[in-house]
Amino acid sequence: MEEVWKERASAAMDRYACGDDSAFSELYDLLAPRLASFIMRRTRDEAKTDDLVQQTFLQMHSARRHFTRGASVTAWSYAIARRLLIDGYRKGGRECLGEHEDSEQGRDSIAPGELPDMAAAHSRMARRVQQELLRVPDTNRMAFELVHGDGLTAAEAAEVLGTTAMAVRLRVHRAYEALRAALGDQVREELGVEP
Amino acid sequence: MNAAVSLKERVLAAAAARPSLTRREGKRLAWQLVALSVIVGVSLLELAGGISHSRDRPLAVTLRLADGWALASSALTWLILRRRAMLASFPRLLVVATLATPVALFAWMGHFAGTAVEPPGAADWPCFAFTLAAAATPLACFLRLHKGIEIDRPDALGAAAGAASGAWAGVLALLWCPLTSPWHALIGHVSPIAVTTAVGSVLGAATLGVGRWSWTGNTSRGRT
Repeated sequence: MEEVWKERASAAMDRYACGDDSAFSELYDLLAPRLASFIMRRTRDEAKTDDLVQQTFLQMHSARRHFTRGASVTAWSYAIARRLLIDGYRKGGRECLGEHEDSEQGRDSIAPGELPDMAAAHSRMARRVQQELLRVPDTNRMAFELVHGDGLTAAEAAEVLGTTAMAVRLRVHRAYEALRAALGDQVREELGVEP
Repeated sequence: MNAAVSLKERVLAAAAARPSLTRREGKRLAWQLVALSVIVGVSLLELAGGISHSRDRPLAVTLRLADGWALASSALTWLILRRRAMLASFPRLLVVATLATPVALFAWMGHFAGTAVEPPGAADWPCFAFTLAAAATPLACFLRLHKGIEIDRPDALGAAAGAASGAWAGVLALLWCPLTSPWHALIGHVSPIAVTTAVGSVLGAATLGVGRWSWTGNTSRGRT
């Protein structure tokens, strides 16, 4: 099931918080590709993505004693990555949040768990979706990408964004409606998006 | 592939080069820092003359004043510790409680104003200085203990910690100080809590937020 990796990641983080250092490697394997995808979608830059993935993991390492037993390490790690992105954005100008025309480049190249043939089949639609997403307000786009791009639940996305699950669902719905208005029902058919 | 492996190796090597506390070690450190704060606070109280410094006021009134405020301080501390869960949106209740703490102390002291004859010509600054001195250790300990925990609002969590530190220092100050007049309460007891709240906010923004690691092993923390 889709949720199994999240449970494994949270269990690995819990073990790491308890002092099992070998769990950090497992945690990295489970989370790094997803975090890289999340960050790459915003930076469009591999070097910056690598740097932010490193920073995210080292922050988790540094604060491991604060990891609450039973909490979601997925939401925590995404929240740290998002905060590092925002800090980088404030310090270095508009280096993230997708302004580039070649926005499909990063997403297609490292989307987690995506097979090459699937990526090819969806690439054209994904490109159009990405272009339309750039027209969606930041808050709605971020919620949409966390839920549909990164596979977070509404509750996890709410923790990442510092809001409620209800607000996330509303933002996702608004983003979806904007996409559907621009692209029609193909959005659902091509990407498996459900409002 | 190689780049991915290399990145993983770099992350693991950097983590190994700078060990972090496990959950059990963190708990042990927390208790040590709590004990340190209590020892420093009580030592300051004893050095300043202890409870006998407020002998002009009936002991029962002094104890009632202090234990009531200790209850309020406990409530604020509980709200902060409840917040330590790593995520979820920052609770507005904690922000309200932080801002209400100085007001609540003023009201609480006002409740006891006139219940005892106050010594004439008493200065306000000793209580101000005493409260600040007693609040410094718990605030520093909190910031040390929770470095890097708050993702969303490190300034707000720091402010709350500053208010709570000031509130607990205020308990000691109430045991020590024989005065409850409104002006003295404002200058000697309420204003230092406002100061610790402001200091906590600034230091919290600098230390409690997510920091960036340098590869030399130091962490620089630039926060919003």
